[in-house]
Amino acid sequence: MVELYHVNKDYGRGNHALVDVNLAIEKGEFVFLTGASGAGKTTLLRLLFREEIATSGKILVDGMNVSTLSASRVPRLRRRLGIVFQDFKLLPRRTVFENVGMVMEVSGVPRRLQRAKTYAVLEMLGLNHKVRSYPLELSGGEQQRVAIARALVNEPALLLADEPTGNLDPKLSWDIMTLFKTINIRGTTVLVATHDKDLITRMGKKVITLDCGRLITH
Amino acid sequence: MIRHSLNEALLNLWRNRFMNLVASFTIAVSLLVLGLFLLLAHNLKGVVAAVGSQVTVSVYLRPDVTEEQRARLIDSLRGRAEVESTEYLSPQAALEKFQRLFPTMREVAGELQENPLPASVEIRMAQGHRDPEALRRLAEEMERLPGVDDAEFDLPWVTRLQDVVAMARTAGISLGGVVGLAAILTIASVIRMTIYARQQEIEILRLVGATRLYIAAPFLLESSVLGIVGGGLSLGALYAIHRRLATSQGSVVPVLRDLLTASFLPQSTSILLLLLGLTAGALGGLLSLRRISR
Repeated sequence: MVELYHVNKDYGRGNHALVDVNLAIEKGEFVFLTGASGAGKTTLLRLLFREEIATSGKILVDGMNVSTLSASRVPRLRRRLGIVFQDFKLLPRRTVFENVGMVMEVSGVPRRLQRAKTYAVLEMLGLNHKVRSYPLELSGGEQQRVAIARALVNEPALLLADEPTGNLDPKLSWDIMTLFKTINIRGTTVLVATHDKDLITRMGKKVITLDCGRLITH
Repeated sequence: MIRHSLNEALLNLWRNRFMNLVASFTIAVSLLVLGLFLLLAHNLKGVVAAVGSQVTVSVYLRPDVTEEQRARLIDSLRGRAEVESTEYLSPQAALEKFQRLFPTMREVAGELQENPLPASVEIRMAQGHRDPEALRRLAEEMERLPGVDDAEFDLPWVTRLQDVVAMARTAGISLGGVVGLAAILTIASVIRMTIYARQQEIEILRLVGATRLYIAAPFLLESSVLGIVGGGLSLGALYAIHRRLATSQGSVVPVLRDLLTASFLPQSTSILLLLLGLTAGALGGLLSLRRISR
């Protein structure tokens, strides 16, 4: 599902965000990506959805060669992914409902189906009473859950989550992880970047560690 | 897809209504300046045409001219491209005209035994043939006809008129070009502001996999609407100014006022103004989106 071959990412002036990263994530796997702040977790994720382009190396996501993808095909890649951003990236002037529905809107999913799916996923995340609220009216934790809802609603082939439980209490964090596990069982490949050690330990899934841009083998 | 873009555009126009109103007003102001200029030019053209229609060749007939000769002369002018109209003035009519034009000379005319004025044919030249060359040619042709004593035209006046018209046209085009360009640039930058304000939205749409077209279409529609609304507002304001000046006694310079009130813009120009607003808005949107989605 995700393959990286000798991937490097430099930002110039000796700033090596990623150094010779090789990894492979099988379809259906559940993987944690961990490391100290600044180790390169977010950079790696950004490479996967083409927000950045690798300085060198090959990246394959769901069979697509991400590095050589033409700009016009990038949207197609992103529609197959569910991305939870560290800073949520919700549209402040749209309701929760509209924010979640965006991915489906963009993919041309019929309105009625959009509705059903949106309500379903919001229920899963305990947000159905906030459907008509605006992001600024929500707490940090609620906003995070909306971001997660948006990532999940279109049943993506690959879920990329950057610190998805950063603003949540332990109980809620665990609920979210359970939810991810369910999605994973249904077939979605899951890659979660986090430095919540407890969560990682409790989940007992495969772990990849980055240190100063390099992959650490356990 | 079209319905979605339209929906999105309308929704967004409403969502950002305050900013959009300000943008429309700014667009309206720059189009108003252009509109005032166009109004001035339009009326000036009218004045020039009116003055130009007084370009005449006067053909003075001999006292012994026959009916037939006169008829032949007038016939030869019928239907010609360079002739707008002909008017025959009998000696009597010429005298009356003279007395009308120079009332103080009435006594002089009264003291004369005979009417010294000749009959004449006044030929008004058509537009496009009011240059000295055309006048000269026609005058020479007329002079060769039997029964004609002399054919004259006011060369200095015509030449001066020509110069003024040419100058006005050059000045008009260059000035109009500058004002028009200023209007377009203003509109483009106003539109760019409205789009920059939505940068976050564009970024997020991109991240969830929206294609460029999906993102761009509503924005282009919005910016076109802003352009057209601005155009409409400018036309409304222009008309209001036009009417206000026409009815007020005001202290506005009379010449300027006449040039603004003689007549309003022809429909085609009004539509042009609206289209300019729309096009500038759409173009501004297009250019701004390209810079952002880089």
